[in-house]
Amino acid sequence: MSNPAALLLEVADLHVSVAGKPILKGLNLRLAVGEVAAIMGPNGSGKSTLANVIAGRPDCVVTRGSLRYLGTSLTDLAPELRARLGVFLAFQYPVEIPGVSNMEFLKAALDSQRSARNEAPLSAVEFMKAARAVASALDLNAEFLKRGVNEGFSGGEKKRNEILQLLLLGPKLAILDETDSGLDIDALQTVAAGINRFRGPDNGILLVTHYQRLLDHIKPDSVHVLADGRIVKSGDSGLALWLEENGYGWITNAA
Amino acid sequence: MQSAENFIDAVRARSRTLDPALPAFADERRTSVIELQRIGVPAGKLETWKYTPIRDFYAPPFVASVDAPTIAPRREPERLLTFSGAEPILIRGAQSDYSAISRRHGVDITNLSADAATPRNARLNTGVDLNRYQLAHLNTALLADCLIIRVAAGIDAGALDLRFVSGSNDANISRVRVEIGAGSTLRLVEQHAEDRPTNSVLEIDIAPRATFEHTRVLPPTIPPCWYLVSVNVASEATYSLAGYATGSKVRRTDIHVRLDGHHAKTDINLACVTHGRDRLDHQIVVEHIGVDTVSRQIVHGIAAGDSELTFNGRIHIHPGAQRSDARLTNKNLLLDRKARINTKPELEIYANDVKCSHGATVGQIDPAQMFYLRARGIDEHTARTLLMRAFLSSRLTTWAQEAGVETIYNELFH
Repeated sequence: MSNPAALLLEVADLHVSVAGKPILKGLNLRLAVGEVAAIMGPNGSGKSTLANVIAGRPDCVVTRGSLRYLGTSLTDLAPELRARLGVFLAFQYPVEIPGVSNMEFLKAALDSQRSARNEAPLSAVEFMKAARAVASALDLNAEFLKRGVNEGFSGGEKKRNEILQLLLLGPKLAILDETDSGLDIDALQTVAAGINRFRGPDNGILLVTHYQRLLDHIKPDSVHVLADGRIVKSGDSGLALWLEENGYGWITNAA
Repeated sequence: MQSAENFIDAVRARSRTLDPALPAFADERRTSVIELQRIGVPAGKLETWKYTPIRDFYAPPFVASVDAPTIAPRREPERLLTFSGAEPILIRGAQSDYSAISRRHGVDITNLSADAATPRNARLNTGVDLNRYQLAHLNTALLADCLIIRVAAGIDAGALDLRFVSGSNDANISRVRVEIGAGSTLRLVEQHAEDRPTNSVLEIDIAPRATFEHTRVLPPTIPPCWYLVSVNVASEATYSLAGYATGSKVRRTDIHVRLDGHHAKTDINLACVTHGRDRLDHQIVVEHIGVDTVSRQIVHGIAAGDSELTFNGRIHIHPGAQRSDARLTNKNLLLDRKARINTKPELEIYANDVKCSHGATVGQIDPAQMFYLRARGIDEHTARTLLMRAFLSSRLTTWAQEAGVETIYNELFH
């Protein structure tokens, strides 16, 4: 990762506050193009804040440090502009939007991203074809596209809907915020298969997770442990297994 | 400014000029003039008129002289929508044109002026609570004609589309009376596209086991408009209302539903929007009189700009109306700092075995929903529009959606 041209994401000395409370306190992280990194850590360590600040959630305020994506600073960019550059956040808690159909939402999202790349919007037929193909790969019935966005979806359906968007929008950087939480074993495998389908040499993934079990299905290139707003330990996939055995208790001792 | 006495005098004078055209209702007209004189033009603050000045509806434009130069009949405004399958009745001022309606068995449509031979079949105001709605006296006093729609028992009367437009420089004083026979069904669209001051009364009588589906569209306009919908629902009958409304300088709509018979039911869905400096005030009274009566009210409102949106929903459960089941929800979005929303759900219960709930919220567009849409590349303006549309469209029927009812809100969305 010494070649800066191959850097997808570079976070340096990042300080972030939410509602005036400091959450990230000098976080450093680099992700290369083609790399899958797992971000692990105990509850309240700042994992979700990291995921959200990269996507541009307005209440995550950067107070110091930098956030660069393919060499461009993200900190002053609106969330929609980040998305159009290829940043994607799979939400931990996807919100329900009754009255907006999943189809209308997905098409608006795809059209906005295509228009940013000077590509013509897909016709309704082309779009439906693409959406149906992805839905069926995720065991989602086409009826699902007609329902309100996440409206009345089960936990598993909401997470699969996030992966459906990931596959349909085809970003460069995917941040998956606890995508494994609340999934039963079958749904976990479906979701993991979707993520592996996305994985490739031209994109990168930040897998934010509390547990090791998702990593049985998606083998990360690197693992970082986040505690109290900083990366306190980094390693290869072996670190995740070590954490599974030893838990996070050592962090307080180390600090 | 004309004094209150002068206004009532003008009403009396105008009223007399109408007698030759509609002699059968001279008595009703005279009674209403006397009542108006007795009540007078309300001077102080009335609780039910807290946010909308009632005096705006006792103003000179409502008694424009018959000699005033009338302008050429206007073209049907473009903002009238087309509801599939609904046959149009054009109502210009008080004059109704139902010549386009296909004759069908059991559906009798007539003007009161043409019905003078049998006036006793259709006395005005039979179901209207004149103590509560004084402006209905003004309507009666100034009424030049009245459309009557009678549906016989046991038939499906299809769909009618009442299209209210202005026909002259005069105010629009209109009255429609609908009677639905036992076990029958009627779907009625009521679209108001008047551009003159309006005082409009719609009386509806629903016989046992009959169903009345009412769709109401109030696109943006300018002058003061007052509307009353007064409904009596007999046993096992249903009155459903889907209303889509925007504001005017002052626009007030009163809805009075009496669930008279056992198992009578009403279902009210409203989507209301104000923007600019407009006002819109909905006042709904649902009375549970029979046992086992059911009412549902869901009202969604959005206020933008410097506008004021008012909602008052009162549920009144009478003594003996046991096992009444009433629910009312009012949700509002406040878009701008200067916009105002007044909401007051009320419950008045005089029976002991009832289920009632009511609630009102005023909020802003959910930032979590906004972020979710923007994180997918959708710009802020489009995201807001999508969310506002969604908030309103949850109240739209498929029929109304297909008719393009959303376009009446377009000024807000751009």
